[in-house]
Amino acid sequence: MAFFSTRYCSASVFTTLFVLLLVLSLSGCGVNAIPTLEEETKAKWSQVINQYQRRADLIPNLVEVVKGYANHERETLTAVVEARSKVAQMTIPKDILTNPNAFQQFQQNQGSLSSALGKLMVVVERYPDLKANQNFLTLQSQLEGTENRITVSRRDYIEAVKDYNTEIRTFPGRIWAAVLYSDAAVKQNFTVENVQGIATAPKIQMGQ
Amino acid sequence: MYKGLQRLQRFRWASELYSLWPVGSYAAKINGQGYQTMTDTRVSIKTARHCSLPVLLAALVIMTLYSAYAAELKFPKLTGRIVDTANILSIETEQKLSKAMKIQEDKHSHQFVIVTLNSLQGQTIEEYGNQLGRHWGIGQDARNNGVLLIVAPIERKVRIEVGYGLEGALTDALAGQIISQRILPRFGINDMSGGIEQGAEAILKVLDGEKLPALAQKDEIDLGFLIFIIFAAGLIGFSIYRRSRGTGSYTRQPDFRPQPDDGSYVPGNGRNSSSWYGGFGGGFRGGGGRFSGGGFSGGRGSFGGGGASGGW
Repeated sequence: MAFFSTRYCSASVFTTLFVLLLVLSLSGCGVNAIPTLEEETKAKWSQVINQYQRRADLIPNLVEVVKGYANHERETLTAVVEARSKVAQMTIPKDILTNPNAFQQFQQNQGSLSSALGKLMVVVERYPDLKANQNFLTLQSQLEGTENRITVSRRDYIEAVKDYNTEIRTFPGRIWAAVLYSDAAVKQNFTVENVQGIATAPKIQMGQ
Repeated sequence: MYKGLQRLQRFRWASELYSLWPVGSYAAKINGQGYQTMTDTRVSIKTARHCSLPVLLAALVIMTLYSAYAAELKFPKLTGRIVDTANILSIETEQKLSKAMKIQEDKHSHQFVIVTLNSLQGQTIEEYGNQLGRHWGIGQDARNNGVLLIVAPIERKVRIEVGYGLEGALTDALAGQIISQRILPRFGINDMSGGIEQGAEAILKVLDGEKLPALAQKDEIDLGFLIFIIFAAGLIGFSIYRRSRGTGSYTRQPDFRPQPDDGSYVPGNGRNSSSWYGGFGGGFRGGGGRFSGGGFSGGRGSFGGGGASGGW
């Protein structure tokens, strides 16, 4: 019992309290910032995937309707179908957000589907009968809306990744990343060439 | 909330750093934006420390200009359910529409706002509309049930921006249909006010859960269907006639019997709405009541890019 002399005891209590206080104050100075921001990027990324999926789901119907009216545009239609199947077959690795190659591949495939769709939408302008078809009009506005949702979800993702990357690369997040979150890596973001890809995505003029 | 705190925290970090340097703290005040710009500022001030005062001032001016250039989009103030910055609507139309919009909101809690803009500030209407909707927070928190009708007369663009929660009711296709069939024809003959009114009424109908009545298109009247209708109407009329005549015991009363039965489903003044929606409205009244007192404000709803646009 000589260990628990009053002096020793009070010192240990003091130390414990100090550590406890330190831990409590940690949560106020950004120790949770990295995981929080990371979850945010993941959620935003899911939304991006979700919207791309929605677009891919629309395409078979669209192709079917266009075929009925513009069957001799076989080349353009085939390009769309091929690009779509490429997107559908693409396996998305788990580490896509931190793997530049996989991310690049994803961008490329979606980009080529965008441009194939863009070409189809230009070709379609030549068929007034098709443009009067109610089914086609519905699909057209759905596609237009989906493209817009893709743009929005990508913008949200870009913002989330910007926040996350800034956090892990600047003080004080950088210290937390080094001490506690050694697996925190800079996440991939959509690049400039792809931003241009958005700009050339099918823009459909309604009601003309 | 957390994000906001984070920003605040960063801002504090930054301004503490700046307070070491008198000009710096001023700079921190003038471009109270993000951390990114802060870092830039800090670097430029550090390098400027070795320079003379005029150079420093010039740098400051450039920085201010830069921050003004890089400033985010400007949004009009949310002054009510109709924000007519382009001055398109007459006072009567505005009052009439606001009233209908308020009734709708009290009933279903969907928030519907009409906005006319003098400029899209170089953005597409989709981009600007989405950011505006999020900035104002139209729609109730968690339900995200906001709708914006955006008209940009200078750019000749119109858009219906639909919040996440209403994407199922007001689909892209339906929004596109409202724009192409109800709004654009009026805009085409320069009847801006009429186009907005037509569009708003159609949107209100959709929010009320009604089906949009099909517009009669001259070249698409189906003759066969018309004949069928006439034939069917004749048949029904004939059978009623025969019934009322054939059996003398039937007076007019039994024929009208079903009406009171229907009416019992309709609470209060449900004359115009279907019986189902009469009940629906009552259930959500409490939720909508939050916004009916005092001024109008957004309920922190968010938008994900749903809706449709058009140009004329």
